[in-house]
Amino acid sequence: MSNDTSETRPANQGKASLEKAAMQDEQVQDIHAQLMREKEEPSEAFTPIPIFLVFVIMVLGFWAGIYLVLYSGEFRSDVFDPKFRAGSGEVAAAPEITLFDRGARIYRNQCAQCHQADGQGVSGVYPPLVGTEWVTGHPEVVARVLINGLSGPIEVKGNTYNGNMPAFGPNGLNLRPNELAGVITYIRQEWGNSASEMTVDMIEEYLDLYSARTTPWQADELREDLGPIPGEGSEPAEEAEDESADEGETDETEAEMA
Amino acid sequence: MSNESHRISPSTNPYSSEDGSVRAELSAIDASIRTAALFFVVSAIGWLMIGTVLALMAAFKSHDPDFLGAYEWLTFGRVRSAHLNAMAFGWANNVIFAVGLWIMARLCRSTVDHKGILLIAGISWNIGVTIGVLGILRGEITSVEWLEIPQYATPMLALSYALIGVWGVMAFRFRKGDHVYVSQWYILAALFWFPWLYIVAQAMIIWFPARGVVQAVVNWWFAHNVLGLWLTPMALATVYYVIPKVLGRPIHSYYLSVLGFWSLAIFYNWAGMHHLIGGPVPVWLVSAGIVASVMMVIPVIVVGLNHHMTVVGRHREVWRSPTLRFAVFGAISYTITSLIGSSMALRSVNEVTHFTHFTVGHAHQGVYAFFTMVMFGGVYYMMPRLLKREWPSAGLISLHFWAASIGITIMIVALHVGGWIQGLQMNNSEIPFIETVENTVPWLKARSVSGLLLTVGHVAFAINFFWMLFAAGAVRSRQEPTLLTKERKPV
Amino acid sequence: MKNLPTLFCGIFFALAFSFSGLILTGHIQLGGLEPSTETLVPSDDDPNVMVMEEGQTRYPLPLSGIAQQGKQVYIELGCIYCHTQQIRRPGFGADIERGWGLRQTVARDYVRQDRVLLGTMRTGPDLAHVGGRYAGDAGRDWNHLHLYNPQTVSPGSTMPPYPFLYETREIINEPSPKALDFPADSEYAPPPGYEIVPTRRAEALVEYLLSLRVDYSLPEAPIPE
Repeated sequence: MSNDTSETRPANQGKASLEKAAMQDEQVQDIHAQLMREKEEPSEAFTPIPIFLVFVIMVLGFWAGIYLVLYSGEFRSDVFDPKFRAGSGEVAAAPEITLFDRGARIYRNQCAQCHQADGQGVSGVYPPLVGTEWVTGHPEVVARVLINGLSGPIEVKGNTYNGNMPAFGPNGLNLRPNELAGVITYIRQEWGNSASEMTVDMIEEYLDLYSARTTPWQADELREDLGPIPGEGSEPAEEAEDESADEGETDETEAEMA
Repeated sequence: MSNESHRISPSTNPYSSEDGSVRAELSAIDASIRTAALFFVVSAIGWLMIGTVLALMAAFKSHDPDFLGAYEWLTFGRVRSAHLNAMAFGWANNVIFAVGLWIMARLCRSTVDHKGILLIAGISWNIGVTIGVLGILRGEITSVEWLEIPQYATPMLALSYALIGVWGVMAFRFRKGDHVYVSQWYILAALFWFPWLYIVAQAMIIWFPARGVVQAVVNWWFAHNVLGLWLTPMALATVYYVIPKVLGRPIHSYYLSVLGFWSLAIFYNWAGMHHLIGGPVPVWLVSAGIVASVMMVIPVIVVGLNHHMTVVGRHREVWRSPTLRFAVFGAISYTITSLIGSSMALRSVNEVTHFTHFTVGHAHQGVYAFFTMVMFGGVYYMMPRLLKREWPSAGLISLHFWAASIGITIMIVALHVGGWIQGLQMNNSEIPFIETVENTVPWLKARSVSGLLLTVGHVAFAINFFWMLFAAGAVRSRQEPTLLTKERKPV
Repeated sequence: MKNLPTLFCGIFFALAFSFSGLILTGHIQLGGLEPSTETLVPSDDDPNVMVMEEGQTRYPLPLSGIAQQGKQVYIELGCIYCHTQQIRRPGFGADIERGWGLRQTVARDYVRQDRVLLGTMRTGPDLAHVGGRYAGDAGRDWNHLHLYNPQTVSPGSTMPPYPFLYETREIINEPSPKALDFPADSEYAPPPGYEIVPTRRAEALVEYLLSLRVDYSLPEAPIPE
């Protein structure tokens, strides 16, 4: 080992010369301790393959064949569903869900980012939806906002909010009528709000009225020219009754808006 | 491993002609590859440290987004990709070039005759990776997974690879002896597969982009095969080499070796499509990937059985040898991670784990707990032979092992559990998305802790390595091998 | 194994097998895919052959110039490492129930993209249809606030802030119409007398995000009624 940094090494000229070199003292020095204690270069025994492995391989191969036949969409380039079967019937219709539940789902996905899951909004930009006449009052007001959007300042529960509400009608994010009805129903009835539901028929009437409009509403136009509540329009008495029932709250909110 | 340094059996006596000539030959081979191999190991350790720093930054950012948030070049997407490329092309490839080529040369019994070319190719490879990683941080990242290195650096990488890889093939071409050992199959195959994968992926995604999702198919064919047909064969070749070398025992079964090699060769390279389950690619491509992933059970069981039967009954020696402690940890991880991988490919499991931290944990189990641990073992075996001196400190090796093994275990558990919960919650639309994000944070913090542990291990490794490299007299004159447990004195 | 040619042929064919099976076959099947009208009609010549409708828009639409620049920003920042752009089919995951899209995305949705950014990680939500969730001026404002610092509009998010895409500057005469509109008492708002305006890159990135919409049907993937 004293000479272990020696760079001399046997000339690579075949086994005979190596053997000779190995016998020379100087070369033996190079077969250093680390090399000396090494075991032989690796080799292999010839133990046979255990029978259970053959069995495992056969089972897996069998499964693979079945899987490929069943879930390969006939090797077509336009099939993306593993359960595809040529000529099979329509996919089962989605189960019916209530307007409120449909709205809850849409609210979570598309409204909660701004108005928050608890409907309290973010101060200064995104107004709260809880306990405000803008949401729980005349359904046409909230339908207008949803269909065409809203821009400019709006005063809600004593605070001013200045954000941009996107349009969700045909000129905007284009929710379907049942989705619009659902989400309006949801915000009018969640978090202690207890206003009437927005039916699909009602929202379709509003869509007929406002789909053509391309500009968002301003807060002060929202309450102008409201029609009768659809489905209840022929019964003004009932409407009046409703209003008187809400009177206290309405007064309060109107005072806020002034 | 130690006893033999004292009592040399007749068959290993240097003066018995046959054994003496084999050892002299090995000595000559070691000497011929020494400079290049040392260069590759030093570069690998350098990249390991750089990659570790980048990994820590990315890990902290994942739960504390404001951490270093004001610097564009350190934004999460770039730091994370720089980490991946530093580790994959800096650490992994350099350590493969060192350990893989050394094993190949020894098994082929051929010396490196033009080591200058190998060294120059190695230097240009490292310059290429440096340019690439800097390019990623500068924003010239391609955003194609595993191929982030900007276009201008890749031809240099491909060329230098060709000069390095061809050398391994030449060693094989001019090999001596009849027998071709299992490690040689793996290394030869991997040296041939890697450039094919890399060139096709560069060509079809970056140079002449294929239409639409064909790019995604190429991307995952490449990215999964970097692991399966490059890192895995190289690590398996190392395990197949060091186990018999340390234990002095033949590999359990040649037939299992053959079966393991060919089943890996056939199945692994189809498996990458499981990264596209549920995605916009024709379902037959995905199903083919799923089937191949499940069929990977065969090579995994076969190789695991072969390794296990070879070491069985010799656990004390495995625990005492630094090489085998790391290599066997890696081999066990290979079995576990591959079986998890096969089950993750099933559609019902993938529905949960896809797109979550579970996959990140799985990737680290493959690349770290398996590949990197095996390569640590390979380096622990190779260095004393190249430098003709011993590792200076058993304590540092022990620290390295415990920090790395505990660290990676914490990381894998945290990301698997956290990722599974994340997946379940993501698939439940009742839970707001932001909640699913917030619920991953504790697990990501655990990942950061594990990263600190890994860092400790890497520092211990680096200190020990450079101590050995620039060793003073005391270390140089040591003759006893560095082992991790006290041997029982023979009575 | 002693037989070198066998070994080498085996090694070669193993990879050639998957290369031809996945890459070449995939390329043959999908490499020629073209944009299509939303529905197909029977051909005039042969009623059994379905063809595209004359005069109808072919989807997907190409990106506008500024959105294309924004895509480059998206690539440079590595957004793909936390956001996918692929919607899984109904019943597999909850992508559609979460409102991330109206239908599954299919191969044809990506044919116009010179770099396909499917992604494999959802640290954040899927963005294939993000322009359908945030649209118009409201969507633009939200995205700018969110990019400048996600905590502003999405508290608890782990998304990194991108303040380097914005410029904080003193208000000289009138505030810029592009200045970010922070919520009142937001801790991220600039000091009085200052404003935060998006750079060109931020504007491009937001235009790109707003342009990501899968709101059209394709013959193989109609939007369900």
